[in-house]
Amino acid sequence: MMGSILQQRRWLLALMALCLVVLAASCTDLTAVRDWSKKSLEASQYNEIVTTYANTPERLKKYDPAGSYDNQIADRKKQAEALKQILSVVSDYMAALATLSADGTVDYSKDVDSLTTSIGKLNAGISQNTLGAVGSLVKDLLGAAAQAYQAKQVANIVEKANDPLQVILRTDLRQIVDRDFRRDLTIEKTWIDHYYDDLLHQGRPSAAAIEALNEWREERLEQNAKRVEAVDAYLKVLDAVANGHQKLYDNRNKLDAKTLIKDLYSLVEDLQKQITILVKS
Amino acid sequence: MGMIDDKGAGEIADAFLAAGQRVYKYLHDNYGKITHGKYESLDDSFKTIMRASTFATTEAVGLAIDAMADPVIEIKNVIGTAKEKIEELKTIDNVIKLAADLADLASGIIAKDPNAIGNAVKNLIDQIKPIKSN
Repeated sequence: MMGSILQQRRWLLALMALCLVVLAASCTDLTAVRDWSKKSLEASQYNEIVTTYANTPERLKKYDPAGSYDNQIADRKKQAEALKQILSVVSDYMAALATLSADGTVDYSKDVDSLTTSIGKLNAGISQNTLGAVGSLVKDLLGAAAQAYQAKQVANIVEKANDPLQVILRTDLRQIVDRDFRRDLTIEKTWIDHYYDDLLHQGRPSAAAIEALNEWREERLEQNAKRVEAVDAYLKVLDAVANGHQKLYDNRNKLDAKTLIKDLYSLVEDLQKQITILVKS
Repeated sequence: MGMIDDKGAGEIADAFLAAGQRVYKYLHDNYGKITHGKYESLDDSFKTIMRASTFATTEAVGLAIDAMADPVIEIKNVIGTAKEKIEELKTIDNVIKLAADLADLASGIIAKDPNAIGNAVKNLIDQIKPIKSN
């Protein structure tokens, strides 16, 4: 009789262990996905380059007072609002992805605690140790089930978002930043050079005046160069976000693959470097 | 700009900028070597060309923003879905069945009934399967 109970317990433990192994195999660690999403969210929020673009006609008025820039100032103000909205859609998406892949999204501890308390109240002669073990197993089982569900939802979201996100990050938005914002700053640089050349050509300036004008020109050109650096950094942000999301898409059925985790953390480092540049510029 | 797209407008802006830079370089290199009249005339051309480049840039950006309308709507829809899923995960509804199966398992353990435990484990695994394959 005693031997039979012992055998039954062993069988039961083996079965529960098997059950846990099956569930553990279904668990996906989404930490890297969450960390990358949060860093992408942070990086995409540095949208000062949009304001720089919107304010270019205003700055050009200084170097070209006879030019009529008022319509463009108004147009670019509207464009800046639209661009910031587009960037906020990308940020919102990253925030949703970070939340969906966060550890604390689901916590069934309280539900399990009340379940084990109820079992205890059944007064079935079960020891506190066994009851504690049951509660612990149930928590593990629920946690594993929730993680599996979470990973599947993250994979679904990544799958749906990848195409439109790549269109924005790799083509349209990238093109605006790389081609139009960069050209805008080259235009400004040309105007700066022209403006200070023009001032130096007027009359016969003293050596002191020449020195002062050259210093001002240098300062304006340095500001312009910093804006160009911000464009370069923002392009790297767009590329890192696009690359990271493509890697998520390619590995959507194995979101905790070692190579994916390594790649995502490498992109997090890149993003941090670009954020530092964007903060300084 | 009529039928032109953002790429075309960008190319026009690039062409104006390149021309403006060339005129500026000529002015810079030849200051004092050409007549005042010619210099002024070229300077006016430079300004007009550079203004056109800025104008074409504004047009190119406007057209590129328009081109992003569809993908932006698609991403907004995905965000909506993601938020729903987050809410689903936060509610207990989608784990009620799981909790019930787990309660069956707990009851089986309490009753020390291998058949009940076996059935409960089978139900649990069946319950997990659709979550994994959805």
